[in-house]
Amino acid sequence: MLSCKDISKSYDDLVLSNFNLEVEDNEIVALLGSSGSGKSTLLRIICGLEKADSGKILFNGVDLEEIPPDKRGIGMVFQNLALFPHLNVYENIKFGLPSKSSTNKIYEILNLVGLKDFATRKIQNLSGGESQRVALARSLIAQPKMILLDEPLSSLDSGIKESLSLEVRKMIKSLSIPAIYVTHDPQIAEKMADRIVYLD
Amino acid sequence: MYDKKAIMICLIMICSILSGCIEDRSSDINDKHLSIVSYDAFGISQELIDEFTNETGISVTITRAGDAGGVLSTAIQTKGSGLFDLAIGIDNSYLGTALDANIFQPLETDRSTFSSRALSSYNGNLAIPFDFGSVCINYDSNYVDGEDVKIPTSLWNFTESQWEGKLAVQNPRTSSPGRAFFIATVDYFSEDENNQTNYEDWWKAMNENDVIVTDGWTTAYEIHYSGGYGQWSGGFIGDAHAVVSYCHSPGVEAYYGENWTTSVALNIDGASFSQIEYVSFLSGSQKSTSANIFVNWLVSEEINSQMSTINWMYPAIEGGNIIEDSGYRWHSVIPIDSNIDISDINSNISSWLDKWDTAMA
Amino acid sequence: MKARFLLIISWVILVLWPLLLAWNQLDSVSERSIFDTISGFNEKFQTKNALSYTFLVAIVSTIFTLFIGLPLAWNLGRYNWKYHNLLRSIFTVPFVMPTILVAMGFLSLLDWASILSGNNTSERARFYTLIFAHAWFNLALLIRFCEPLLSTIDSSYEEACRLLPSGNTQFRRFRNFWIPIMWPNIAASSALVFVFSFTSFALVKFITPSRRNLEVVMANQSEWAGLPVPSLSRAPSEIVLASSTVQLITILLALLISSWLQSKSSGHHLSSLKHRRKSVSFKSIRGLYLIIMIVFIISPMASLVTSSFMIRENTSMVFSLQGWESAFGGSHSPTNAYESLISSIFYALMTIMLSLPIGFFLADTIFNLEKTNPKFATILDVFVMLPLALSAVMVGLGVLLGLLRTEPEIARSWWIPLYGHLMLTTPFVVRVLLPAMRNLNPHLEEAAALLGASYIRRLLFIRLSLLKPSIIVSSSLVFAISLGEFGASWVVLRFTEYTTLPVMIGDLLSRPGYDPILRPAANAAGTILLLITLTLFISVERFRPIGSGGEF
Repeated sequence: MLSCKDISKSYDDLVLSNFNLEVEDNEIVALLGSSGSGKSTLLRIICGLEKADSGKILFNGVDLEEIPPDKRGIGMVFQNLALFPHLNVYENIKFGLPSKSSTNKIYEILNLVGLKDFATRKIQNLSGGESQRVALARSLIAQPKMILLDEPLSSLDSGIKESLSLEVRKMIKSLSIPAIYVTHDPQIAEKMADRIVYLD
Repeated sequence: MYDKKAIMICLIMICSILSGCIEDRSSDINDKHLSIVSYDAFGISQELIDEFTNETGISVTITRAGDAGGVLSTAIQTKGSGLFDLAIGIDNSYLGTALDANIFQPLETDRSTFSSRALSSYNGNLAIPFDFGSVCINYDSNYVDGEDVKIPTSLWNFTESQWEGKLAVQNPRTSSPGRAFFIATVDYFSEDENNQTNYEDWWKAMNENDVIVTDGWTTAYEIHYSGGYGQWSGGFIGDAHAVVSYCHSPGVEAYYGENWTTSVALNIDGASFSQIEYVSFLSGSQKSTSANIFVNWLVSEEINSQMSTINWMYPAIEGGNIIEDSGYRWHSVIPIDSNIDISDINSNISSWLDKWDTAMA
Repeated sequence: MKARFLLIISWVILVLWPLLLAWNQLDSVSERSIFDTISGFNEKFQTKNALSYTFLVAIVSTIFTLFIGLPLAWNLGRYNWKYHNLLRSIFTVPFVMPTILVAMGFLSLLDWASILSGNNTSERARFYTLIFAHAWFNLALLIRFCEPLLSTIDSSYEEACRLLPSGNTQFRRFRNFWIPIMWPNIAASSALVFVFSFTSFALVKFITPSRRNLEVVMANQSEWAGLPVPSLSRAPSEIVLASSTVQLITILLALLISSWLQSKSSGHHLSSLKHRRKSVSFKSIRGLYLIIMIVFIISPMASLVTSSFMIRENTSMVFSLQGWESAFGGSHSPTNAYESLISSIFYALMTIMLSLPIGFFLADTIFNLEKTNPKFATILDVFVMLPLALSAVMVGLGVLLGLLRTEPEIARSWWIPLYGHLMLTTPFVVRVLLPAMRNLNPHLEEAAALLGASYIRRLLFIRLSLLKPSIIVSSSLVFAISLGEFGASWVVLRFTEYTTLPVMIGDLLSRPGYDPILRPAANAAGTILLLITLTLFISVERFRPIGSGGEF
C-alpha cells in the first residue's frame, strides 16, 4: 500500500501543497486535473526522480526517502513512453527483466500485450498503440511493486484509447499491485480506475 | 556480467599499451649513448651518424633546438641536469655568455690541428671549434652591374636611394647570421673616422631607407633575395638585391647551380663577422669518454675536411678548405672580418640589442 | 556530485598550474610592467605593429569568411543536393587539416600563380593569400553552426511567414524571419572565426613571414623568455607576458560572447523532421557557385600533393619521386617521415584515451549544472574552453616555462607533448558532446533507472550507446587535431628528443633550401599527413547525427 503524507512541492509557484493520498494493493487510482496541476510532479516524487519539499512517501510502512529510484521497485510508463531508440522491442523489454529471470518471460509478456511477433521490430517502426504496449510490457516485466502511468495514451486516437485503456486495466489488475494513472480525460479516468482523485 | 568483463579488458589493454610505450621511451643512462643538442640546420646526416655508431658502438640522438641561440638557451635551462651531453652549434657571438654561465666542462681535444682562424675568438678546452664561416652581405650582380648601380664600398652606401627597400637583413634576436652581422656593424661603425656616428645612426638610416628585416635567414634569402635559388621557389618576391648571408653562399649557389650564379659576396673590410661554431661538453654529463670520442671524430681529418658539404661551412682544421667542385671555392670569399672580443659581446649585447630594437621601430 | 567537483577542480588546476608557474617565471625576470610593455609595443622592433597586424588579420579574415561562407551555408542548407553528405564533409574537412599543410598548400598555389602569370609574388599578394587561407580553414565553422538549423527548420514556419505581410518578399523574409533566427548562430561562429584567425600561427609564420602577429612574436621570444639569465631574457620575457595578456583578454571576451550567443540560439526548438527542401542540380547558377567553392576547397590540397611529385632541376620543375624517397629514406632529417608519423599516431591515440573520458565528464557536469545553476554552467563552459583561449603557442610556452624550465628532468618524459594535445583537444570533445547530451530524451535514463539499472549500467548501455555517434565524431576530431597539432608542439618539442610529423615538416621548411630536394620531401611528408586526416574524417562523417545542434 502506498501512502503519501502532506506532500508539498514548489518550483517558482506552488505546485503541490500538503497533498495526501493512499492507494491500496490491487487498487487503480486515476489522478485527474488540468495541466500544471502537479500530477506528473507527484508521480516523479513517488518514484524518486524528484524530491518533495516536505512530506513523506511510505510504501507498506517503509519510508522511501533515502531509497534511490533504481532501488524503489516502482515502475513508471512515461508520457512519451521513453522507449530506447537504439534497441529493438525484444531488447527494450529485456532491459526491464530482473537478472535471474528466464528470457522466456519476454515472449510471455509480448503475448500478453498482443505483440507476439514483434520481438525484432525496431522502435521507430511501431505505431502509437504498439509503442504504448511495449512500454507497458517493459515496465511490467520488471515485476514492480507499484506502477505509475503518466498519461501514456494521450497521443492516441480516441477509438484506440478506449480499447487500450481497458486492456491496460486488465493487465494491471492481474498483478494485484497499486497503480496511479494520471490523465486529463475524465472518460478514460472513469473506464480505467477504481477511484478518481481530483487535483487542482 | 559482461560489462565488468569489458571494463577489465579495456584496463588491461590500456596498461599494456602504456607499459610497452614507457619501456620504449624510458630514459637511457648508459654510457654508450650520447644525447646531443644542436641547431635545426645542423647538417650531419643519419648515415654519417650511423657510421660513427658502427665504428665506436656509441649511439647518438640529436635534438634540434632551433638555432644557435636555442642551443645555448637549452643548455642553460638544463644546466647540470645531464639531460644533454654535448652542445653543438654555440657560436662565438654567444660563447662569452655561455662561458659566463658555467655550463661547460673541459674536453681533451688536441687543438694543434686547428687553423689559427678557427682559434681566433677562443682558444681553450671548454669549446672546440668545428667549422666557421664569415657572415657578410651578398649582392645580385644582375642589379649591381657596376654602371647604374655601383658596387658598395662602405655600408653607408646602403642608405642611399638606389638601395631603398632593396637590402634584406635578419632580426638579430631571432637569427644567428642576423646577430652576427649586427655585431659586425657595432664594430664597423665604432671605427668611424669622424667618430660622429655609430651603429645606431646607421640602423636608423637603414630603417628610413626601408630595409627589409625578416625573422629568419630563409625568409630573407629565399623569398626576398633576387640573386639566390629562391627565384625558383614558391612565393618568391625578389625585391631585395642584397642580403645578409655567408661570404661563401655564392659558392653554395654555384655548387648547386653547375658553376653558375649571379650572387657575389661583398668584401668590405670589417663589415663581416667571422662566425665560429663550437662543440662543447656540458656540465652535469658523466659521459666524458664517449663525448671525447665523438668530438675527436667530428674534428678528425676524415670528417672535418668535408665540412663544406656536410654543414656548408669552412672546416676548422688546418689545411681545411671549401672543395673546388663546381666553382664552390671560386665563388666564395674570405673577407677581413670585424674584430670583437667574446667577453665584450657578452657584456654589451643586451644593451646593443635594446638600442637596435628602438632604432628600428 | 562530489566526484564531479573534484574533476572540475582538477581540470582547472591542470590548465592553470603550468601557466601560473610560467607567469611567475616570466614575471621574476621582467622589469617593466605589462601595461608599460604594451604601450611601448610600437617603440620596439620585436613588437612593432604586432597588435595592429593581429587585429587586422583577424577582422579582415572574419569578414571575408562571412562573405563567402554565408551564401555557402544558405545554399547548402536551403536546397536539396545530390550527395548532400559528401558536400557537407568536403566543406567541413578543412577545419581538421593541420595548419602547416594549409600553409604549404596555399604557398604552392602561389607558386603556380607566379609560374602561370610570369610574375613574382608580392607582400600584398601574400597577405591576400593569408586571408583566403583563413577563410578556407574557417568556412567549416560557419557551415557547422548555421547549416543544420537552415536545413532542419520546420517548413511550416517559413510557409506561415510567406503568407503574412512581413514576409511576402524574399527581402522581407530575410529581415523579419531569417536574420532574427540566424543571427545568434552567425555571430557565435564569427566570434570563433575571429578567435582562430587571431591566434593563427603556422599560416602567418609561413605565408606572411615578414609580418608578425602576437602568436609569432611569442614563439620568436620563446627561446629566451623566462630563462634565469636576465641579460638575455628580460626583454623577451616582458614581451611574452604582455602579448599573452592581450591575447588572453581578447579571446576570453570573444569566447564569452560566443558562448552566450550559442545559448540564445533557438536551434533545437525550431527543428523538426518536417522540412521540405527544393532539389537543385549542379547545372544551375547555384550549382556553379557550389562547384567553384568545391574547387576552392580542393585546390590547395591538390596543389600540395602534385608539388610532392615535382622537383626543381636548374630553372624548371620536373616530375620526380625523389621527394618521396627522401622523406621516407630520412636523409634530410634526423627522423624520417615514417618514424615521425608513428610518433604522431601514438600521441594521437594516447590523446584520445585521455581527452574522451575527461571531456565526457566535463560535458556531463556542465549539462547537469545547466538545469540547476545556469550561470555557473556558463562560467564552467568558458573554463573548459580556456585552453583554446590560450592559443597553441601559449599552451606550449606554459609547458615549456612552467614544467620544463622548472623541472628539466621532465623533458625526458614522453608524455610532455601529450599535455599540449590534451589541453587543445578536450574543449572540442565538450563542444561535440554537450549539444548531443542536450538533445537526448531525458526520460530515457530515468526509465532505465526505474527499471532497476545501476548508474554504471545506465551510463554504458543507455547514455554512451545513444551518444555513440557523437563520441565517434569527437574521437576523429581529437585524432585529427592531435595528429596535425603544430603550435604547442613546435614550442615544446624543440627542446626534447621527440618529434611529430608536423614539427618535422616545419623543420624541413625552415632549412636553407639550396638543395632542391627539401621542398618536395616536405610536401611528400605533408601529403601523407593529409591523406590520413582526410580518410579519417570522411569515414567518420556518416556517424554524425543530422542537425545535431551544429557545433562540431
